[in-house]
This record gives sequence, structure tokens and C-alpha cells, in this order.
Amino acid sequence: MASISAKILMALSGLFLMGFLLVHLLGNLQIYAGPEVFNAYPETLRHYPVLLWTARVLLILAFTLHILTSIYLSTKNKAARPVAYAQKHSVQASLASRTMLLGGLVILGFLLFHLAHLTWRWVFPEYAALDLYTLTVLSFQNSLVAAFYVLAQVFLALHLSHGFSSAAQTLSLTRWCATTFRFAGYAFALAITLGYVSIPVSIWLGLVHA
Amino acid sequence: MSLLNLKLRVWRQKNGTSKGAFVNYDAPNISPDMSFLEMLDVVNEKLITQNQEPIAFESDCREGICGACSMVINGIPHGKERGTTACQLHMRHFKNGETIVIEPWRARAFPLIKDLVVDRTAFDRIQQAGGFVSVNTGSAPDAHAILVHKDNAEKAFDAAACIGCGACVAACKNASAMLFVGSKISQLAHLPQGDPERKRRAKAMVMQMDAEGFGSCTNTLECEAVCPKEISTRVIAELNWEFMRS
Amino acid sequence: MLNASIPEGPIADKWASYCDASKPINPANKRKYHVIVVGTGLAGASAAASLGELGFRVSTFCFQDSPRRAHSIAAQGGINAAKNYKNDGDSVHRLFYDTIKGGDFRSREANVYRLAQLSVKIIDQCVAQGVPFAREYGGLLDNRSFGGSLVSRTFYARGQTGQQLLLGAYGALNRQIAAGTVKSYPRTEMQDLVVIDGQAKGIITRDLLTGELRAHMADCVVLATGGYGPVFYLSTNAVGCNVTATYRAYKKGAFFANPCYTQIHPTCIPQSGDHQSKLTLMSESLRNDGRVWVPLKKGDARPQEQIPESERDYYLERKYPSYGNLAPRDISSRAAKQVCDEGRGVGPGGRGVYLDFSDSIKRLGQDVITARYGNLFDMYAKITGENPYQTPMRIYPAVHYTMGGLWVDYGLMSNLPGLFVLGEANFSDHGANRLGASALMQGLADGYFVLPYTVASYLNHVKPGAIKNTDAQVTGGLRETHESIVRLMSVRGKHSPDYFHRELGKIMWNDCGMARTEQSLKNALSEIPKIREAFWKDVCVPGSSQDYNPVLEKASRVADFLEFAELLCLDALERRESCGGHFREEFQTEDGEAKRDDKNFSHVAAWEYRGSGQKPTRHQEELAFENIALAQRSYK
Repeated sequence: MASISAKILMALSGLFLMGFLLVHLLGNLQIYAGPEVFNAYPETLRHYPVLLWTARVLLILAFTLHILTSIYLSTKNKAARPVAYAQKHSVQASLASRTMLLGGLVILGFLLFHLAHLTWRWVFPEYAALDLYTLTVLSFQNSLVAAFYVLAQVFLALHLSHGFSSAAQTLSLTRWCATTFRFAGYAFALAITLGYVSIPVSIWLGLVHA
Repeated sequence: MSLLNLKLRVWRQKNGTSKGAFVNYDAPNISPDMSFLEMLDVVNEKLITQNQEPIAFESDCREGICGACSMVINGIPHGKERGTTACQLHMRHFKNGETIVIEPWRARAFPLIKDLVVDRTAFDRIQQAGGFVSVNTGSAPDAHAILVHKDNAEKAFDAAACIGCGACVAACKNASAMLFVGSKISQLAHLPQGDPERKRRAKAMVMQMDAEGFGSCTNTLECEAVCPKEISTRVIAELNWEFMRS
Repeated sequence: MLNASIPEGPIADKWASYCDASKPINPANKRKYHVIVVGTGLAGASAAASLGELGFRVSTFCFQDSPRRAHSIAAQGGINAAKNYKNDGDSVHRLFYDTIKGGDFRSREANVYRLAQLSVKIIDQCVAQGVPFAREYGGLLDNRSFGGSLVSRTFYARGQTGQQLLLGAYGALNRQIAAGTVKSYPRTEMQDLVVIDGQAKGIITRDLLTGELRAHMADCVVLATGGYGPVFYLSTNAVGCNVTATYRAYKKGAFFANPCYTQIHPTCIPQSGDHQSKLTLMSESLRNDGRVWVPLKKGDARPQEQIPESERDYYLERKYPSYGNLAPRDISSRAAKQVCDEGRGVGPGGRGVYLDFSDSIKRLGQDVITARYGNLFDMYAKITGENPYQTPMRIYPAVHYTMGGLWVDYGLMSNLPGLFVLGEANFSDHGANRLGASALMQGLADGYFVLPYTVASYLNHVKPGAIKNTDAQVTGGLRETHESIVRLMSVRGKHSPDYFHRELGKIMWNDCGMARTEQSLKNALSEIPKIREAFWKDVCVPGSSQDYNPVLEKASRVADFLEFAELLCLDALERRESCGGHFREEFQTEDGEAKRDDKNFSHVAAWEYRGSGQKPTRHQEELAFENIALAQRSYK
């Protein structure tokens, strides 16, 4: 496969995942509306199994594609420079752009933890039978869990801040105005992250409670 | 301005198969008006008179247009001055007593020949794959038969300014050649002359680029920061577009 | 007496009748012919591509790592063509006239006329290749004026015209390489010409990475190897430019014509010290908007902004009111030298004059000046550390181009049948001085449009592939080349090749530079052999000859410069007149202009090698001026 084709697949799957992040965030923010609303949200989704499973399959596909293309491309990229520089300075490459792979791996690790925590409910077996709202609130009262979530969101922010404009560049949307996309990327990453981070932080601070 | 006394740490490697290492040299009494290469000339002249092999590096025009010179100076291809080739980098930008680290371009697609000299024929092969307009000598219509919008002519020129030095590859963490390939693609994409072959060209040049072992672009934008002709990564977006169309 | 084989008939019809007279080669037979092209600049790349398109088998050679790095790439200003797109009265005849006059009546009328005719096709060809020439808002091509001309006929691509034209030719060459008609040998340097039964039949090359010597046989050989400017050590040429290919062809019997015609370009950045490895040209196009001046008073050390208008001498405008700052290169250079010799020069050592844009910036605004010359201003600022938008540039003349070269006939073939010479490497079109924006024109005219016809015309009479590389001449040539390399490697002295090159350069610049006298030339002729002797006693080439060895390459080129310099000075000595770039102080008018001697020197001097230590023989080709009357040049 041509490198650019792989990049396009990576960009498209990345954009899809960004869309998911946004939708997922909107769902999560309902926590501020109290347990009834928050607990009703997954129930509502379960009423539309076709929609839910289509979304899940697409998500799994997008993740797989994103990961596979990243493996494919980063293997090639590593091979392209067999001897490393003894001294190398970046002039304008951002930290985010240079740490996409690391960021991606952290996010993948977080994702698995997140699924184990709130979907499969393996992390706190003692809370497994509780409703989602209570489970969420009780978990984030644990400082370690809250901190881990916040940390993961920082990595997500970095990943998105580059990923957004990078996808736009790969899809050639930046032909006219590269800076717009760069700042849109920063704004998107910031908004998503603040949204997600607010939840564990609010719970940990006791602003949201059981 | 007073003369500079500098220390150099230079990558020396006999050939592509042997092992390389850094060697330290003193560069005393360097005039701030010298170019970086003239400073190396002074060091080399001394080595030659001691019957030692001088530091091999490439240069030809020494006015920033042939693209021959190629070295990573203190971690940045062509050094830290923007829009400047090593041959146009002057010593007035260095501090007395400074240690300067000099390395070759490092990329699988640019095999090392000796010291700071690498083989950049991969670039030629990419151009051979399609970096041209197929027009035989003598078959051209009158020059004014082809009108080109001034803005397009300017954009084409901005991309055509590429000197093929390979700094973009050297700077890229993936050793990607997208800025180099994009500059030719963009030049011809903005001109009506390039239109009939645009699909074939984009496909063929990208395939050759991949086959040469360059990495792929992760849009870190480091290439445009070191490009001595300050070619914008817009050309990479255009390359992506031309490739998608092909 | 040399015969240039110029076709009969009116000058405007000569090229057409030449083409009509040459019989086309059967396409099926073309690929049986192998043509070697040495050098991949404008002339070489365009020739190789065009021959490949016609179906010949072509091999190209260059010492650079890529054909694209040939020194044509550095040409800045533009390329002339008699398109008359500006409706300012340009025509083929006017370009012809300007070139003959600019060359101080020392070029061959028929060649120059053909050049002017073909100039229009070059622009068409380059535009079709996608060369991004400057455009006007209507989408049409823009033109500008250049030195030595009163019409706007110069096409340009910002300040990088040579680069863009070369990349166009390089693209055409690449297309043929991909098509398999051209085989490219980069990093391969020609060491010798193979001449068999008086005909050029191949070359001996050295692979610069492995040191391997190899003979390449062909049905004809094309040299497009550029000029010999670095014989002066410092010049605006690339540091790799050399005389080796043409000089070794000369030693194999090709005549070297007018070596003393060297061009000193008026607008270069002055030398900043002894470390200098090359000089940088600032395009002559700058003289369109810049005004050249020096202080009126001798030894005026005030900074320029403190020198009032009334105490400035705009000497070009004063001396040449009609051409002013656009006077031809040789005249402008000499004028700069004169004012500096009078002690009115500026900058370190008093070797510089101001090129001042303040009036233009006031009149047009800085944006317009940036759009026109931005890259040149940046380059100046980079090299000198001064901002030319605020302080005037300092410029001084420097060696830039060499009009002399191997002698060729009308078909660009040297006196050795089968040896063709193109571009700056030949002597043909610029006489004693080249006008700005004409080098690109000549290189491309030769390569795209002349050579394909004349090579075919020659090959019509040649049996393809007649010579094998086992011929005694070939093995002998290989042995000689090997021996000369061994000789260079075995001196193991104390000095670098550059050391001797610099010594040679000093003598050449002082004794055979912008002004020459019988005495200075005799001095040079006695000093050069001494340096040569010292070189062979004391040069040091470390490393191995079986390896990538830039010092060896340099030493080999310097060895040739050390011999060739003598030929250049000898030619300058024997030409007892002043013309164009060749200025003999004994021969000048009362107001210091070059004084030609048409009665005795209206000819080309072509030198024949007679063996080491022997004086070469001077042959002559008479120049007939049938279409333009001989006259003293006037740019007043």
C-alpha cells in the first residue's frame, strides 16, 4: 500500500474517532444532570440495538484501522532512519507531533482500562452491581483512578492537538489555510479534554456526589 | 569583529560499510565573515598539509542554489539560520569558544558515502518517475498560447524553488521526502502544462518515493522549518490531493 | 586559415539551408548510434534529452552527484529572446545586432544570427515544460531589460532563471532516462578524449566514488563542460567548475579559441578576506533600479549617508548618459576599477562601489523592490551581514564567464571530426564580451535546437559502432590517465592543491584580469611555470585513488589550470588590441575605452597544442562583417 493511502486511512479513522469522542463526551456530561438522566442514557441506547451495534462495529473497525495503519507506517518510518542522529534539535515540530505513537499507546492502554472499569466492571468488583452513576462517582473518589483518568486525558489532548490538523493536512484540506486547521485542532483538543477532565475532577472535589 | 576559536565534533566514516565516529578538531582564528564551508576549508587545508584525509563534504556553487551542501550543524540541517544553506551560513552566527557538532544527512534512502557525503540519487529516480512535462523539443506552441494566472505562476514558482538538497528528509523524524516530492508535484499542478499528466505523475512519484525507503509524513512541519528555500508544507497537502485524485 | 563551414546565402536563410541540406537518418538506424554528452548543464542536458527524443542512444556524464547541480543552476537574471512581446521594436535582427556589438565585433555573424533566430523557440519550449517564468496580471509573460540593450527582451523567473531553465532541461533528460534512451553517469569525470584516426570516438572517465577508470566508446562526443573561470581561483563559478575536459581535448588536438576573452562581471559582492573560496554575483538586473556611485573626493572615508548628493559621482550615468547604469559588463567593470584605482573605492581595501537603491525605493516603494529583487537582497544580507534596504550594496567586479573555448565550426563541431562543443565550453557566439541573459540563451539554443541537427548531419557519414574499446588508442589512454593519477598521488608534498590554485589565481587576477599589459602578461608567463613546478614538487593528495577522494579531483583540475593559464596569457599577449573583456592598457582611446585593431585582429585565434613544453600554434579564422558594419562601440 502506498504510504499516502495508509495515511489517508489513518486520517479518516482518526476523524471518525474524534467524532465518537465528541458524542461520547456529550453523553458523559449528562452526569451533571443527576443520576436519573445519566443512568437513562445507556438504557436509551440499548433501545436501539441496531444503531448501537453499528456504532460499536464501526468503532472497533476504526480503532483497528487506526492501529494497523499506525503500525504499518511507524514500522516504515523507523526503518527509514536506521542510524540515529547523535544530536538533533527540532525547530518547529511540536511535542505532540513528535510523540504521536507514544500518545497513541497511552490512549490505547487507557481505553482498555476504561472499558474494564466502566463497561466490563472488572476494576472494582465490589461496585459491579451498582448503577453506572454510582459506580462512576464512587470510582472517581479514589484519587489514583481520578488522577489516571486526568493524565490519560492530557495525552489525549496532545494526540488530538496534532491529530486534528494532521488529518486535515493528509486529507489536503489545508491547501488554502493551514493555520486555521492548526488552531481548530488546538481548540478541539482543549474542549474535548476539558470536558472529559471536568468529570473526575468534579467528583473528586465533591462537586458531584452520590 | 574579532576572530573566533571554535571546536568541531565531526562525524568521520570511511565508507558506507565501515563504522563511523565523531572526531574532535580545533578551528582557531576563524573570521566571522567566512562561510561555514570556508571554515571547514581552513580545517581541511591543515589536515591535508599533515597528509591526513580531510573531512569529506559536498559543495559546488557556494551560493545556495545547487543544493550540493548537506550537513547537520548542531542538530539542524544547514544550521539554525532560517532559509540558509550551509554554504551561505556565516560564522558571525557562532560564538567564540563554541563546540559545533557536524553530522551527515541520516536516512536509509541516502546511503552514506564518506564522512558528511551521502548518496542522494534516490531524488533523481523520483524525478525520473514523473517529475516532468512530456514535451519533445520543437513541439511547443508559442509561449503566449498558454496563459497562466499570475497567482498560479507565483505558487508554481514557490514550489519550484526546491534545490533538491535533502534537508527536508534529514530533518524529518521519519526521513520522509514528501516536501521534496510535493514541491515538484505542486509546481506542475499549478500550471496548465502539468495538467494532462497530473494523475500519472502523482502516482508514479509517490510509488518511487516509497520504493526508495523514505518514511511517510506525520505532518510535524519540521521540513519547512529547515528548507533553505522555505518551501511551505502546503505542497505536501497538494501532493496528498493530487495523489487522492490519481 | 580555419574554415567555419558557414552555409552560403543571405544570413537569415543560412540555418534553414543548413537544415535542408542535411539528410535525416532512418529512425531504425538512429538507435545504433551512441552519443556521449559530457556535462549536464543547460547545453548538455538539453542536447542529451533532445538526442534521446530523436532515438539516439545517449550517455551523459557529470562530476556532480546529480545532473541538476550543474552550474547553469546559478544563473540569476534571465534569458534573452527576440519575441518583441513588449512591442518596443525588438526583432531577430536587433538581438543579432546587440550581440555582435556587445561582443565588440569579435564573434561570428552567422552563429549569432542563428542564435537570435532560435531564441524565440527556446522560450516556447521552456514554457511548455512548465518553467515558471514571471507573468503579468493578464497571464502573459513578463520581460525586463538587461545590460547592453535598450529593449526589454529578458524573460526571467525571479532571480533564479538558470535554476528553473535547468530544472526544465533536467526534467526532459529524466524523461529520456526513464524511457531508456539516455544512460546517466553522475559522479563520473571525463579524464581524456579518445581520438582514433583523427576522429573523436570516446572518452575515458574516472568513477569518483571508486576511482575506476573506464573507456566509453561512441560515434561522436559532445562536450558541454562549461567555462574556465576558476583559472582565476576566485570567480562567481562553482568551486567544481574546471577546464579539464576542454583542456584535455585540446591536448588531443582540438583547437582552443580566444582563451583570453574572459568576462569580469561588474556586480559581485566584494571579497571579504583571504579565506574566500568564491565570489557571489548579484544579478545584473539590479542595475535596472540601482544607481552606481562612489564619492567624488579621493579617500572620502565618511559613511555613505553623510556624503551629500553633490559629492557623489554617479560615474556610469556621467560617462554613458544613454545606457547609464545599464552599460555592458566589460565597460561597467572597467569603470569600477578605474574609480577604485583613483582611490575613490568604498569598503574594506577600497575595492568596492555603491549600488544604491534608495531612489528606487522612494519612487517605487520597498514592496516593489522586494518583489523584483527580494531574494538577491536576502542573499546580500546573508553574506555581508548588512541590510541593503537601508545601506547601499557594495559591489566589485569578479570573474564570471569565459567567452573563449574550444573552436567550433558553424555546426558546433571542433576541428576534430566527431567532437562537438556546446555552451560556455565553446567560443562561438559572444565574441569578446557576453551580454547579460545571453548565456542561458546560447546554452539552450545549442542543446535543444542546433546540435540535434548538426550531430545527425555528421553521423550520416559515420558507420555506427565502428570502434571497440580494445583499440590501442583506448588502452593507451587508460594507461596515461592511470599514470597521471599515480603521479599526483605520489608527490606527497606539503601543500594542498588549493594552495597552488590560490597562487595561480593571484597572478592571473593581477596580471591578466580586468586590465592587461605586455609586461604584466610576460610576468605571468614567467611566473606560471614556477607555480606549476612547485605544484608537482610539493602538492599533497592524502587518501587513496581507489576511493572517493575530493582532494585528488581538485589536484587533477588544478594541474590542468596550471597549464591552461599559460595558454590564456599567451593568447592575451598575442592579441595586441583591446576588445570587450580583453583590455590591453596599451590599446585604449583617449577617454579610456577599448581600442580595437580591426585591421590586424578581426579574427578568431585558435590554438593548437604542439606537445608539452612546446609553444602552441596560433591559427586564425577571419571574421567577416557583412551584415553589421564594424564600428567602435558606443554606449554614450
